[in-house]
Amino acid sequence: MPLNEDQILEDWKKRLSPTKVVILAIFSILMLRLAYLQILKGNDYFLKAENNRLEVESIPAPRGRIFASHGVLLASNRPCFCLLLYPQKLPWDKEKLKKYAVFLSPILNKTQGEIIKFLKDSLHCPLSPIYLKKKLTWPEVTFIESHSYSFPALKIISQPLRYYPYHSLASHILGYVSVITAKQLKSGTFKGAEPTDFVGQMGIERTFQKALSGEKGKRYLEVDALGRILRTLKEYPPTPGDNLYLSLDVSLQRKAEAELHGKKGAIVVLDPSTGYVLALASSPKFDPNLFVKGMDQKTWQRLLKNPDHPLQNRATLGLYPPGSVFKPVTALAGLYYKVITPSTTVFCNGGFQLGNRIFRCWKPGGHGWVNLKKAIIESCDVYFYQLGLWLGIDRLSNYAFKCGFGQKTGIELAEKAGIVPNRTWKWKYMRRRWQKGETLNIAIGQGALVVTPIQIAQFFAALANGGKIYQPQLLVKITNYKGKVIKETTPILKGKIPASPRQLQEIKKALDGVMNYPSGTGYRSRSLKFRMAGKTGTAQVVSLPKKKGEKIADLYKDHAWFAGFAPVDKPQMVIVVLIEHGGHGGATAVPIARDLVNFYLSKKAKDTTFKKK
Amino acid sequence: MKSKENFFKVTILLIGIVVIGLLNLYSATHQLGTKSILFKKQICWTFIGFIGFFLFYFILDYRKIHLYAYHIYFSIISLLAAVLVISPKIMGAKRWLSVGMITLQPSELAKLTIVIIIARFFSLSETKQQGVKSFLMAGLLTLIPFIFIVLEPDLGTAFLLLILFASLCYFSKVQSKILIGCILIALILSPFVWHYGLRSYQKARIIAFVSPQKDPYGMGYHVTQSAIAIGSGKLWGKGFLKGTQTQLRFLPEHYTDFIFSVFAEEWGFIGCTGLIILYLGIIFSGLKICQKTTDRFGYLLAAGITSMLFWQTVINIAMALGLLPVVGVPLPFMSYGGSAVLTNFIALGILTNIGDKKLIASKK
Repeated sequence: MPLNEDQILEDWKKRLSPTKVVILAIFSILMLRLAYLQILKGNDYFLKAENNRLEVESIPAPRGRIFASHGVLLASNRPCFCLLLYPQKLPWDKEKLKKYAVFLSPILNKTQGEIIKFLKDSLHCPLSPIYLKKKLTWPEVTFIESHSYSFPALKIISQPLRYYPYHSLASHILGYVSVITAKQLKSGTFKGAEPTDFVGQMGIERTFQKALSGEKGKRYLEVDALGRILRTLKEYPPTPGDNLYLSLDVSLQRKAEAELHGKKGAIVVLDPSTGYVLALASSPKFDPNLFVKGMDQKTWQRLLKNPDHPLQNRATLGLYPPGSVFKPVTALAGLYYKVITPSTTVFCNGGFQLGNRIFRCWKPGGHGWVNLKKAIIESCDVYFYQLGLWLGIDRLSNYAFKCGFGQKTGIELAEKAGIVPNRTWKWKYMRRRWQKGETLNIAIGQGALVVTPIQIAQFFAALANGGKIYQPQLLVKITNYKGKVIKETTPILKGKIPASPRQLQEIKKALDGVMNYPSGTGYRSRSLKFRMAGKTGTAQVVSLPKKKGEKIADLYKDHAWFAGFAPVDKPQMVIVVLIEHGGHGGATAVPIARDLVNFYLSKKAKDTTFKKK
Repeated sequence: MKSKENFFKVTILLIGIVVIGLLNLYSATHQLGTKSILFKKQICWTFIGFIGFFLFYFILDYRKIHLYAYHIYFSIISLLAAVLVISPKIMGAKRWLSVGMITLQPSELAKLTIVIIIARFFSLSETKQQGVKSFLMAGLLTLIPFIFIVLEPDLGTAFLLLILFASLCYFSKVQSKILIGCILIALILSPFVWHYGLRSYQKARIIAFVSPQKDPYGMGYHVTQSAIAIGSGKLWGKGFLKGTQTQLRFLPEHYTDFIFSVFAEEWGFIGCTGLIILYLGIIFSGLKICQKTTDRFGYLLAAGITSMLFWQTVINIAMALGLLPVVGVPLPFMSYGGSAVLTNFIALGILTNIGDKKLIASKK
């Protein structure tokens, strides 16, 4: 055995020399790799290591504030603590993820299962942080901060959040802000936006997003691999957004909204001599604060699917047949194209026959002989049927367009252009020839003609001020955060109503008669304090054969209109009231307008006497 | 005449590595808050390790190990079983046994045990080459601890056991037919293992190794950050305590698996070359001792211990360099870990004991 033992051992030892070669070869590979990383690529990796420790953090800029006239603050900011989730820093193993869920469950008021699912979903876009909760309470902040070491994917940031102190007041004008959506982020709608930014989504907030948003600050941080901040290297403070001053009169706005409460509709009040908006209300309204805090899916769906569309600004986006408030346009067109004179008379027997069709006047017995003034005061349909027929659709639609209909007014809010139908329009959309009967309907503000309340207000302002069409405006000035005025607006004169001063005076007198002649459609609800002028309207939604004593469903009830101005001799306000399915304009819309006129003009009188003292 | 030639050489090399290792561990842990205690613990373990080293060199005769090989083997097996039964899960794995203040990691001790038991088994064979029967028997001896460790799970260590077994097969001249057959079977089985045997995180590590850029914040993170740490050290390094990757904690597990990256960042190419030369010195001393052994058990034991140190060093460094997937194999004398320190010190004690005992033996 021992002999054999030595032989075997010697034989086995032959394996040692090749081993040395293998060992040297393997170590050479390690050395080569080391040389490659440290010498050849050393500089690249050195730079990478330097970048590794730097993190640039944006400091959100406080959004510019929005004021109404007299310096009433409509939108400001409140510093809030928000809890952010950085998905890329989440642990990938289940146990640790569960720890997050256990920790977050009481804060977010959700079950652990829901949170784990949410966290896993968040990993689809690992690089975009997500708001877990806004407006943390102090105990929550201290609780989370004390555990921040164990949960590096969570971060508390202090962010000035939008706050609307009057809640739903002027909500359609202001609009709202909310966290930028993934879609907006992707499409680059907002330049330089980050996933955690709040952006204006509607109204003034959206229109002036750029001015309001200000410029974000930057903070250069030295961080470790878990994102824990070791120290701040450099900090550039943010520049707050610019402040906006609107022409809105808050007390009038509040009064207008109160008048609309419980109804669907819109009110627009303009200063006729400048076009500035004094009040612009739409009902139902909403509380923009809800969007800032973020709402749950249920509330959002309820708001979105509400059949009353509370988010829609009816004053600029609502399209309605104007009904009789359109008659002054037809009347002016008649005078302008010299189809009629103020003394031209038409006999109304309650109907107007065209071919074998009879177009009815609203007054079954008829008005007898009517001239222009009487036609407007008593709102005789037959007169305007005849006038429409004489004018023809080309001249009528052309004239309406020159009065600002069928095109956007240019107000700083989302709006619709409306439709002024004519031959080309009909051919384009319906592939049908124009029928004469349609002209008749257009002449009394029905048919395919649709307008927005702001267009009506713009037109009546021009009637009040002698024909000058001013662009309705909300913005008076923009100042930067230090108070320096950057931009100041002036009234924008877009054009003139094509009519002579005498012709305009004729119409104005007629509008005065509507409110102040006992036979006028607005007489019964007129203001006793201030002399108003205007036109009522009852716009048919659908034509229904009416039977006596039958109740009509709300949805098919007529829209009630009033458009006018006060005081007649020196107009200070133009007012348009629209109540959806409100029935008769004279009965529903005029009392609202009267209340607003009384409220605003007496307040103004008081202010001036106060100033004089 | 008792020569202590090997002892002195290895001791000097060992002290060199241990000093570097401790300094490096200090750098890696001094900013870790509660974890900076790891450095103090490691000093204690190093102290105990040196005692073990001296004990095994001076007092023990390695031939006693031959006698008690199976005792050692079965006690380690029972420790491994105990781990699976009683130890709590830490970070998703059961690897540690707590005895009072000390936590033991039996899988580390198993590395040396495998070397001892296989060396004993093969040294008793009566033929020049190991046949199928003895190969299968030895394979079974390896497989038992292997399975226990796979169940923990600690795939790195389990895999290392297989490599040690293969190394000893090589040194004891197992028929090459058998080795080739084994490799073929392994290749055929590997897709099945991938599908049914590996856990998702283990797959992720391998995928991350193949293409780290796919998942820079997930598993690829380790690989990328380690490369940045090593590369940014450049020729001269950033200096002691000045490695930003380490100090800012971009490197995960940097006091165990990625300890080499910490060193490479702070000491650069020059420092790494020095460190690798020290390791190479120990490994070549081991081979020299192998060359001079007079009995087969001593030869295989020395060769096995040398292989153990070599493979751990190479696998760990290659992993840090991104040449191998991330597996939990510590760098001898550098990584934090009591059981590993103890095992490696004792292994070196036995190695030097073999190297210097031969003369005493011939005197008898």
